[in-house]
Amino acid sequence: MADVTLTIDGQSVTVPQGTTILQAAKMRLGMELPHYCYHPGLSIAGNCRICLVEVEKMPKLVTGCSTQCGEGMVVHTQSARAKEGRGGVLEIMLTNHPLDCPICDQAGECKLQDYYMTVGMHDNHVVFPKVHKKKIVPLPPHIVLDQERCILCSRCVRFCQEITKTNELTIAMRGTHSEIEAAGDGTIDNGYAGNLHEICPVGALTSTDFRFQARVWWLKSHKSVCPGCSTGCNTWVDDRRGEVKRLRARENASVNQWWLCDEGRYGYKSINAPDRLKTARVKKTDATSGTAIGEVWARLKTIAAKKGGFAGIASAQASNEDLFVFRRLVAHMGGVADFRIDDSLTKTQTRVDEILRRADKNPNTTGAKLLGFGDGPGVEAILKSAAEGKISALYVLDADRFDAAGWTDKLRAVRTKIEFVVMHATRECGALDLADVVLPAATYAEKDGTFTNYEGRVQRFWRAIRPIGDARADGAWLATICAEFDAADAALAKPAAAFNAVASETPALGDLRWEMIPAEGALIAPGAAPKDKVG
Amino acid sequence: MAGPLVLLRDLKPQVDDPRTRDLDWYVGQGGYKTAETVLKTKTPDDVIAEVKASGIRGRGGAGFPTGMKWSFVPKGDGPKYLLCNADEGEPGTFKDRLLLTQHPHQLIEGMIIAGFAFGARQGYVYIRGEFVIEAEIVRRAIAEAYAKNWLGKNLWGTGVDFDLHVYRGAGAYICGEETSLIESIEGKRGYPRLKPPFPAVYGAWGKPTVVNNVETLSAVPWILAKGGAQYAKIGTAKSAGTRLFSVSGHVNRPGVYEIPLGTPFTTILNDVCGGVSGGRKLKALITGGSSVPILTAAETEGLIFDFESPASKGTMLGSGGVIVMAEGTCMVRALMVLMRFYAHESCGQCTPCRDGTPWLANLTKMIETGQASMNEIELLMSVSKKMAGNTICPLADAAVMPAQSYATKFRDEFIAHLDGKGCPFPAWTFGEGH
Repeated sequence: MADVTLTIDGQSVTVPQGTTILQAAKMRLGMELPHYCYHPGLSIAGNCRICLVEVEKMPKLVTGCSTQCGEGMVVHTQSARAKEGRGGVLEIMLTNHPLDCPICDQAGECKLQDYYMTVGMHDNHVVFPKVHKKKIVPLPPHIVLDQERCILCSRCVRFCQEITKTNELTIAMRGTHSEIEAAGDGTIDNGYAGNLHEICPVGALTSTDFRFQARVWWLKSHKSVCPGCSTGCNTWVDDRRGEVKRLRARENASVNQWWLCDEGRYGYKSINAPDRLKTARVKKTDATSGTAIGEVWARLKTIAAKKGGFAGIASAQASNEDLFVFRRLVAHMGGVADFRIDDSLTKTQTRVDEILRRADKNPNTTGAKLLGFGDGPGVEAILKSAAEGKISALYVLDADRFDAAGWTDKLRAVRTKIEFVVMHATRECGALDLADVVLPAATYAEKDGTFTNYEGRVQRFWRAIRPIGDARADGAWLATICAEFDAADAALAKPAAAFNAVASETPALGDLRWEMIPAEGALIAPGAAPKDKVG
Repeated sequence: MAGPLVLLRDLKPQVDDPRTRDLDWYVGQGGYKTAETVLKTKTPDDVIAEVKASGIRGRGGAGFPTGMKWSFVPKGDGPKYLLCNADEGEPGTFKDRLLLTQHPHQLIEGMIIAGFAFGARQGYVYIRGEFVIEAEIVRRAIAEAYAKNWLGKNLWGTGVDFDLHVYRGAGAYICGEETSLIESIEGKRGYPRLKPPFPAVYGAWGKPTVVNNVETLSAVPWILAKGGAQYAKIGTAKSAGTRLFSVSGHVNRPGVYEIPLGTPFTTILNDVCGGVSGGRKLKALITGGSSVPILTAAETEGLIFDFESPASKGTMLGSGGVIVMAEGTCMVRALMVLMRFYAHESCGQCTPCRDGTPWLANLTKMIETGQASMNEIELLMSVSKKMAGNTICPLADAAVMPAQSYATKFRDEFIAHLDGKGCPFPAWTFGEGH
C-alpha cells in the first residue's frame, strides 16, 4: 500500500496509508498519545475522546485513535488547543469517578492517575453528588466489576465480542447511568477472562485472584515465558519479595499478541506452592545439598564402572539448557533416555481454540525432540528393561510430571529391580518415596533458560525470583554431577554456556547465540521443527 | 398565508380529516402517478438530476443537499438501503408527525422514487417509539400500497422492486442521528458511529445507505411531477422550496405551517400565528428546534426564514421547530429543562457528552434554585466549551449551543438568580415525576 507523509509536532513522518495518527506517533516518534478505549488488539471505538489532537485545516479536534493519516497533514499533539481538549475530556470523565484510589488495586498503574498528572492537574469543580453505581459485581470466576470506577471505554465488551467471541458483556442503561453488565448469571469463564482485568485501563475490572494482594508499586516485573503449553506465550512475572503475585501478558506480535489464557495466567501458583520441596533427601531423609549430591556421584560412579544400565527420563517442562546437561549425563553414563511421559506431546501443534491454547501442555516439546530425547526407547520400554533387571540406575528429571502422568505405580512395581533411583522435583508427590535421592528443583521462574515452542521459536525466559530453599536449576545440579566425569562440564551450570553448546551442536539453530536471542524469539531453520504424528 | 403548497396538498382543512391518509384519497389527488411515470420513463440519473435541480436540502436539520446525498451512493449491484428518518424527537418539532398521519402515501411514493434513484430495493420507515398511532397509520398505508402492487416486486411492470417496512424505535432521542438510527435498525444499541465511513458507502448492515427525513422524501413526488426547476422557483435562490414549521410557545395560533423559504419571521409570527399570546412582547426565539442557539427579540429584527439569514445571526433553521418565548419567560428555567433533556438523552458513548450533559443540567439547576455563585455561570461556559465538538455525534453540541447562547445573551438574568436569590420569575411546577 502507498505511503503518506505528514507532520506530527514539527517532525516529518512517513507511514503506510491507513495508519492512524495515534499509531504513527507511536511507530515513528515513540510518542504515546493518551488513550483509554484504544487497544491495538481491538477494533477502534473512538469513544473515550482522550486522544484528541489538533490537525491544521480541520475545524474540530480529532481523535488520534480513529483519524487516518493523510498526505501533507499537519498534526499538533501538544498545542494549547489539543492539550485543553484532552484536559477537558479527563476532567469531565472524573466528575463521576469515585476517586477511591487508596483502596483500588489499579492505583499505581491506572491511566486515570497517569493522565491526571500529564493532561489534567485541574482543581475539583464538582459540587453536586456523584452518580452511584454498584461497587462489587462479581463476574466469576476471575473478575470483579466496580461500576463506579468504570469509564465505559468498552474495551472489555469488545474483547468478549472480538477475541473470545463469547459476548458475555454489554453496556446497559443510557448516558451517565450507563454501566457494564454481564449476560445471564454473570459468569465469565471463556478461558481468557483474565485479559479483561489486564486491559481495563482503570480499576473497574479487577482480578479475583490479585485483589488486595499487593500494591503494584511494590512489585517487580520480570520477563518470562508461560510453561503451560506449547504456544509459549510471553509473560511478565510480577513478584513481591520473592513471592510471585501475578502473571501478565507480555506483548509479542508473533506469539500471543497481547493475551494470555486463564490456565496460564493463574498457573503461577505452583511456584510458591506450600508443598514446594526446599531441601534434598537421601533415603527419605532431609539432607544437605552436599550430602545428597555426594551420594549421587558415588552411586553413579560405581554403576558406571560396572557398565550397568543407566536410563534417564526427562520431560518437556525442562529448558533446552537443562535438557542439554541431562543429555551429557546420559552420555557419560552410557545409558538411554526419553522424555515422552505424557500423551499430549504428540499434539504440539494441535490448537485447543482459535486464540492461544494448544493441546500439548509442555513448553519445550520441540526443544526436547531437537535434543534427541524423542529418539529414545520410550518410558514404557525403559520400565520394561528395569523389570528385566537391565537398569541399575534410573534418573527422573521431572518427578512432578512423571507422577502426574501416572507412572509412579508402574515404577513401584519394578522398583526393587533398580539399584539406584534419583529424582528432581519441585513439589511433593507420590513418586518421591521411590527415590534414593531427591534433589529440589527450581521452577521456570527461578532460573534462566529457553523454551522452543510449537513452531520452533526459541524464546528466552529470565529468573524472576531466588530459588526457594536449596532448590537449584536442573542444569545446575546436573552440571555438578557431570563435572565428576568431565571437569569442563562444570561450566554448563550456567544456562548461557549450556545454550551456546546446544546451539553449536544443533544445525537447526544456525549460529544463534544466547546473547542474540531476539525479543520476539528466534525461529529455528524452516523444516527443522519436528512435526506431530498425523492422526 | 398565501403561497404554493408542496407537502400539504391543497386540501383544507386537512389536519382534522382522517380521509387524507387513505390510498383512495391520495390516488384521487393524482397520487402514485408520478412514481409510475418515473419508473416507466426516467433513468435513475434523470431523477437525481431533477432533485439536484430542485435545490432541496435535507429537512431533518443539517440541510445537506438531497440530490448530492443520493449521488454519493456507489453505483453497481448489491443491496442498498433507503431509510426514512421518522424519529422526530427534537424538542419543539412536530411536523413529520403531521406528514405521517395525514399523508403517508405521499411519503411512500417519495420513497419509491428515491429508492429507484440510487438503486435501493429495500426501504425502512424508522418511526420513533412514542409514535404508536403514526406507526399504525404508516403500516396500513404500506399494506394498501402492497395490495395495489405499488410496493413489492415488478412495480408497474417495469421490473423495479421496492419493499418497504416500518421499524419502530424504542424511545431514544439519539436514534434520530442517522448512524445510530442505522445501528438501531440493525438491532443494536443506539450508538452513533464514527465517521468516516459515511452511510452512503457503509451504512445499514455495511451496505450503501441513504437516510432522509420524512419531509424531504415527502417533497420528492411533487418535485418529480412538476419538475425541479418549478420547485426551485419557490423560496429564494439559495433556499428552495417550502418548509414545514412547527410553531409552539407563546403564540396565539401554534401549529404546523407550510411556508415558502424566504418568508420574514414577522410574517410568520404575526400573520400566520396571530402574534405573541396575551399581547406580550417577544423575548426570545428558537428558530429550529431546541438545539440551535437562541435569538433575542432584538436579534429577530429582519430575520428571514431561509438558510442564510439565521446563519448570519449565528443560528439555523434546523428541524423547523420554532419556539416563541414571550416576556416573563425565565431563560434559566428554560435552559434547565433543556439541559435535563440532553442529559437524559445522551447515549453515553463519548465521555464529554455522557458526563458533561449531566454537569450542565446540575449547574443550571443550581443557578435556577439560587444555590449558585458566579463560579457556576463560569463553569457552565467552560464545561460546555470542553464538550463542544469533541464527540462522535452532535448531541453534545446540541446541548452546548443553547447553554452558551442562553448564558451569554441573557447573562444579566442568570446573574439575577445567584447567591441565594433564586428565580425572580413566578413559580412554575413541572408536574409529576420531575
